[in-house]
Amino acid sequence: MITRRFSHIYIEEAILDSEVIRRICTSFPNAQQVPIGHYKDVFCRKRQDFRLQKRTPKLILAMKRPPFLYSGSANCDSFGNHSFYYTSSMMNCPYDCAYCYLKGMYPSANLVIFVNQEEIFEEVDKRLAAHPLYLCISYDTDLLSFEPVTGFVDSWMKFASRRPDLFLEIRTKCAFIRPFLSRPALRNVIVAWTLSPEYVIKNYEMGTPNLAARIRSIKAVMKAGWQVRICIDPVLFIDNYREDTSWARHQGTDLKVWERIYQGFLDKVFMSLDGDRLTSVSIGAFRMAKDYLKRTRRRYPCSRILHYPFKLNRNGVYCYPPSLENRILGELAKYAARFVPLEKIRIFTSSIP
Amino acid sequence: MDLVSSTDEGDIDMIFLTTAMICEAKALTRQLGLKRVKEYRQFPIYEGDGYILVVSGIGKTACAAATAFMLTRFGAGPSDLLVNIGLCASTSDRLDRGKTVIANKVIDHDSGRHFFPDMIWKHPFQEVGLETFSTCIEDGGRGITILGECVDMEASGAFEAASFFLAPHQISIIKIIYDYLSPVRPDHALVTDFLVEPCARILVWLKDLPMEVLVEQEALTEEDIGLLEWAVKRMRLTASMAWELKQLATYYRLSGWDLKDLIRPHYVPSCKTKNEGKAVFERLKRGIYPE
Repeated sequence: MITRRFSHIYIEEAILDSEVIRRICTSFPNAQQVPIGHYKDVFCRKRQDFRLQKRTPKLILAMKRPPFLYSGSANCDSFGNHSFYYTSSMMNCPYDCAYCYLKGMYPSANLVIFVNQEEIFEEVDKRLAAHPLYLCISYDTDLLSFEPVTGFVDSWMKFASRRPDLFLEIRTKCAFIRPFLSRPALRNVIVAWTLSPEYVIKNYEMGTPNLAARIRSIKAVMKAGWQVRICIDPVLFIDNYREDTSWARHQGTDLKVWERIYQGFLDKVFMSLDGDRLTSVSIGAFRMAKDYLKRTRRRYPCSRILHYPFKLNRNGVYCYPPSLENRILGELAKYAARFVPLEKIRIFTSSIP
Repeated sequence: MDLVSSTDEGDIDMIFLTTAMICEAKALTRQLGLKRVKEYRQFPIYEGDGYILVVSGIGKTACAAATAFMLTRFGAGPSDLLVNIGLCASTSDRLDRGKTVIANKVIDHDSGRHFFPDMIWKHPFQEVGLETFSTCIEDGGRGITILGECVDMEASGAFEAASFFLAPHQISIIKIIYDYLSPVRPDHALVTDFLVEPCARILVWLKDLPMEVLVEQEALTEEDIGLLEWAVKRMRLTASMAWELKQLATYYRLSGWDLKDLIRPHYVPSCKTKNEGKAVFERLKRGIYPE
């Protein structure tokens, strides 16, 4: 009795008759199309139930208004790039990860697709005239997961292929890799796969491809010559609270369960992938801005991983207590170093007391 | 162990209905067996098993006032629904007379504002954009720009008023096509007869809605909250310390533990000063999560 996902497509009237809209709508032939004035009329309504909308998200097709590029967040690794920017061609994600900051960032779980890519490209060209650019095109969403509908990743790669000063990062949990296999590898594009242990995928990353599927995709993309970064981020503290009768074990003093899950995960990943051929491995523990966590907890009052007693750092970010974060990141990096050259492992730490 | 509880434990999910005219209401009250509640003089209100209906009178202002009155008086909550039901006109003869339509967009003609219900419920009705006018549109709407496929005189008032109390997925606007912008003064008895079948279909749809998806889950039971309030008073905690205790207790509870094991007179002695309470609180915190 609940409508199917994307049963409705809300379309800004100004772009109703455009070719890109027609193309996107062909992927949803049974969807009800509703003309709207501005995407915020639907996306920013009062009192929306994010949790319920996540079960049956709708699509909103809109025009992106300036700014087209944003400075990279301090909560994200810039990988040493000075001109670190990101752009949002989409807002929200078709996946439903329990720990995702988007659950506290947006008022709605509906997906917004901004269709005027050309204007974003023009802005990028303006910046490139001044300096090289490190641009993440899949923040606040998983762009690749919607590639069969939008074709945006393909357009970005065509654009990047003629601009050597532009470095693109495409972050994803998706297993869809056709855009990478249908053209020669680009030197200035990094495909960054977020990987998690199967236990985490099964329990906290609803709707995402399983670990084996992601590994298969990485392998194929690496074989085609693309640069691949593995992001083990966020690392979650896992315990076996369901079986364990000792409360002390839940307090981060006992990492036995966590170690078993994460070491098994790294064994599985590097049994299939050659660590020497990866561009880098990025590791970061769970963290979320104070306001986002507060809102996410309100929306998901029974999520145990969100209600962990995190500590607030001086940048207003909730993270694991420094002692626990240092231990889990240190242990993970040490274990990863068995498979990947140390200089390729990047640890992003947020637990500044 | 039951880790979660409902916020509305014991509350009955309520479906609030609004109609403009008594003759529209009758098609519903008769089928639902609703009885007039005599204590309300402002608006005729009918009540029955899981339903409350208000008759607002014609026009969006009357509808907004009646909707707000009903939702306030009966304490509408997150697991309730509001449905505005009534006659409307169609701007096109593609929609047959007697057809039931549901609005995916409500346009207030006067203000130009657009309202969007969250279309999360599957339904058997045709979806339309519905435009609300303050006056009756006659003569086929000649000389007037009409954006909606259907027009009425209440929907925007019902939606805007209900939006102060309810989420957009809790509000539905359902209309039955009666004329094509050339209204004749309706014969009230005929209107009731005209609406019986469409209303029966609407009621079947409402009866089958999975209202349980609206129930919000909470980590702490009412008993847990009572226990925490008792501890906060005993330790003379500040508001921020009380919030911190609730947060820790939530994690403790979600981990499958019983708060009664932690918060009991032996661990939470009655404190005479705030400083004494602070020391007890620190000790209690370490019991939940050591620094």
